[in-house]
Amino acid sequence: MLWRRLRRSRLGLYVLRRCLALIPQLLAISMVTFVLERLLPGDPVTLILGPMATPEARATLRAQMHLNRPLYIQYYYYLRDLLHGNLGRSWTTSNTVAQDLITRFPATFELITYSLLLALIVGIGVGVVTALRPAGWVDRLTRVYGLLAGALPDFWLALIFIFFLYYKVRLFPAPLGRLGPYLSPPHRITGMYTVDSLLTGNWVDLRSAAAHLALPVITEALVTAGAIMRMTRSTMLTILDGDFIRHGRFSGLPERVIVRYAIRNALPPVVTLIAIIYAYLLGGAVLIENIFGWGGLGQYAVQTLEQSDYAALLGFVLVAAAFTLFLYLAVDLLYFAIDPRISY
Amino acid sequence: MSAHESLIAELGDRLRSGKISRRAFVRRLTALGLATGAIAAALDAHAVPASAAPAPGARAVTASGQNESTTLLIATSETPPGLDTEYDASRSSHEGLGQTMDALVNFGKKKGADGLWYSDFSQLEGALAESWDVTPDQKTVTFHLRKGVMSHWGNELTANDVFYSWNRGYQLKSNRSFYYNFMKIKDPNSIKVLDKYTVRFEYEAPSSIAVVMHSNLYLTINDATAAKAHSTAADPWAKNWIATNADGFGPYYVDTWQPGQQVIFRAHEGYWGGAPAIKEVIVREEPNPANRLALIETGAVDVAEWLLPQELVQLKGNPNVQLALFRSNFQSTYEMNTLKPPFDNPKVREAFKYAFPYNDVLNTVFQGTAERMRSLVPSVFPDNTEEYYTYETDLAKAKQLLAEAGYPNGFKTELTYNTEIDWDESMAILTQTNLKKIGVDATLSKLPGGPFFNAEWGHQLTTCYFEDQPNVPAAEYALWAFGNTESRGDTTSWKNAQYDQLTTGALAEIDPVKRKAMNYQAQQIVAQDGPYVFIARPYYAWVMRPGITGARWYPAEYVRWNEITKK
Repeated sequence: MLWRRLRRSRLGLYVLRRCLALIPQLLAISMVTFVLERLLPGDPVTLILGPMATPEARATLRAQMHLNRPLYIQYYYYLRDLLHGNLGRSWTTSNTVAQDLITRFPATFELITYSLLLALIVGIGVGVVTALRPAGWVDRLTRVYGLLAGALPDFWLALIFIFFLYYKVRLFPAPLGRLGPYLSPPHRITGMYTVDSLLTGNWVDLRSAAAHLALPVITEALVTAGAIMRMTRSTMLTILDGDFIRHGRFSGLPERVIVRYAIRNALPPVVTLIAIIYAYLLGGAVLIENIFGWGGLGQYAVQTLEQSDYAALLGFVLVAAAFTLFLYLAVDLLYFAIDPRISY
Repeated sequence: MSAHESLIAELGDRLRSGKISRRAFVRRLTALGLATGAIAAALDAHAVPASAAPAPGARAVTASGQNESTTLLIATSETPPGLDTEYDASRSSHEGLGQTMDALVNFGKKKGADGLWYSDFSQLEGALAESWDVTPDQKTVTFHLRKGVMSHWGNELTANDVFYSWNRGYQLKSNRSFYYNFMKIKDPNSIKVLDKYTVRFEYEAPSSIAVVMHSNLYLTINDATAAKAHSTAADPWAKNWIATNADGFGPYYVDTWQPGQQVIFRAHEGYWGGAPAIKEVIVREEPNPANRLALIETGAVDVAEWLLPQELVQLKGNPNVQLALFRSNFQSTYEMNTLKPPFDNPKVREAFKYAFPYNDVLNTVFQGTAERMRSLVPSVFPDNTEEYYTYETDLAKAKQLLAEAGYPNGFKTELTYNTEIDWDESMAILTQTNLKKIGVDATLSKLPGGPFFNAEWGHQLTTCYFEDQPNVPAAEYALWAFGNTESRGDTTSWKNAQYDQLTTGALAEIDPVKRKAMNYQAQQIVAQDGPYVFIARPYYAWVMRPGITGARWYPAEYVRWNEITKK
């Protein structure tokens, strides 16, 4: 069925159009961010050189960074470098921004992807179950959980978990980053330690990476699952009340078929929510990253923002923007797969 | 042999040949149902040191095959942004530079009354330089370099390296150019390479710190050959390479650079001072101080740095942790901008010195992890005196002084603080409360680090907390840096002609007795007329596992790892 729809629709053209539209979108985002960033208080030259720097030193660095030229000239230099793949150099890490992003993006991506997967399993699973048995004890418990999950900050939960599950009972390893302190990372293919160690058969690294991922993933998943659960539950309840479901029940369809129909119809808003959460987590998991010493993108964004590290900050914004735009494209394609009424 | 025994024998073979770790060996034996005693016996039998199975979170053999007593794992607040003496001056860079860069001279060490090792500023020793000659007018210093000093990259130290390092700073107009100015070195032509191992510095004026200055972390010597090998047309001074490799003749070199996660340093086996006992140091970034505390308490790391006062207090008396609180040169002061009335009135400034809640701050904010500050010259530096800053909290006196200055009903003002310094907010609230009692209505405003420093060094803030440290161990340097009108460190625009004269003069005074008198007089003037309320000098805390010895405090607040041994 999907195949026929694919051939009949002009899906390919649609995807191409969306991908091409990415370029002006990213350009616009980069321009706005560039201007806003330059308007922020904080002079990077003073920060880099310190208070004892001579005026000549400042002037030299300022000229090197093109900070004495008008904004549109600075933006031109930036674009020109960007087209050569040069995102500039971060002065808070002394690496090129490209290097930093290449290391940090997989770190955060790994963390948030596993968190979201777990959140999906818990959230959708519990949401469906409680929608099917409203007012049961499971429903009442999970409603409380749904409220709490929204109210409790993720960093607080993380610290509680660290205190009880690491400090007190040593069930999990120390929150010292992505890998045990004496291990070297697996040979880099994607940059995600679990994937890379699996692909290269490095079982020691795989166990360590998984063990270090456990606490941050559980924390983030528990907090995120609440929202997903609430959304699933309320959407399901509305759908289960609908005419076609009632018709199906009267027609004698088995319950599991009813449930399958209901879930399929409940998915679109949940998928939207997940996309929003996913895009947000790329920078929004910063507190978790900070607590677990993850070295991820969120941490990078906050650190470079505080230090007026322009090039790095702009690099982060571009990555986050591109990621979000691709994600929304994926969501739109997913709608196409789920909902037969949609055509492009 | 039973199946059980042959299985144990097979496991033993795999352990010996390194196919499984000791921990895995123990775990499999446990799975087989062996009691602890039998396991210990099995470990013994297979020629492995018999000890209990390591607890989760403890460390086994490192990836590089080093064993525990030669590796140091440090949890710190941030990895250094870079290791170039010309550009990187943050506290995390101090530590990295201190291990990888050597200076021409160093100080001997002495044990303080607290049983901790400090640098002894009366004992100047040769480091990269073996000996030196100073002309009687203190305007020329000739250093005779140590022969056979090799860098990690296999290059020998020569006078050309000294010239290269100083020239680089001059051409880049970066950190070292400040020192050219300060020490009155006209330009790189005043630094003469006399022969392979001899280099001469010519100053325009006599300097009391002609030799001592060369112990400074920011005047360390680069390996010119290595730097040149990594220079490119776009980067002729190898800035990109040096930032992540710390080009020096020190006891460590950078092995792995992963900012935000960790930086791994390895010992330079050919170090002129002898190969360090600690072969590998992993500096791990863990931004949350509560986590660093948990890590040191559980023994997961060897050293935890930059803990908060309340966390240090928690650790006192903990047998699993060794707490070294070094008296340091870091200072926390409250400064008043003399360009903004009424702070141009010395009586108002004095009133504030009486109004400040010293004991409250030391007890509740620092909780005993700081000593009271009574001079711009740290207590660990020579020529320090505490006799002139006798102010204690006396609100009545403060009110009286304000009335004398013409403000019997107080006035409105602003107090700005840096959100990135942990204790500033609590101090601000305590300060505001006391000021209210004398009629001064201080509005609190906060800025993140970047904008705060810009505003402060731009002399734009009315009152704020000024936290810094004088890194050259000379009283006249500290006094000049934070009070002389020509110094950028005088962020309050305070102008006192007599003070300026004394501090400039002391730097050029070669008679130590006369200089001491000048230093004392300057300390008196800044205590009484200066724009600073001296608050506290927080201790530099090195929190370590037991069994680590030899840590010595260096100005710029770090410990040199090659002086440490670990049991």
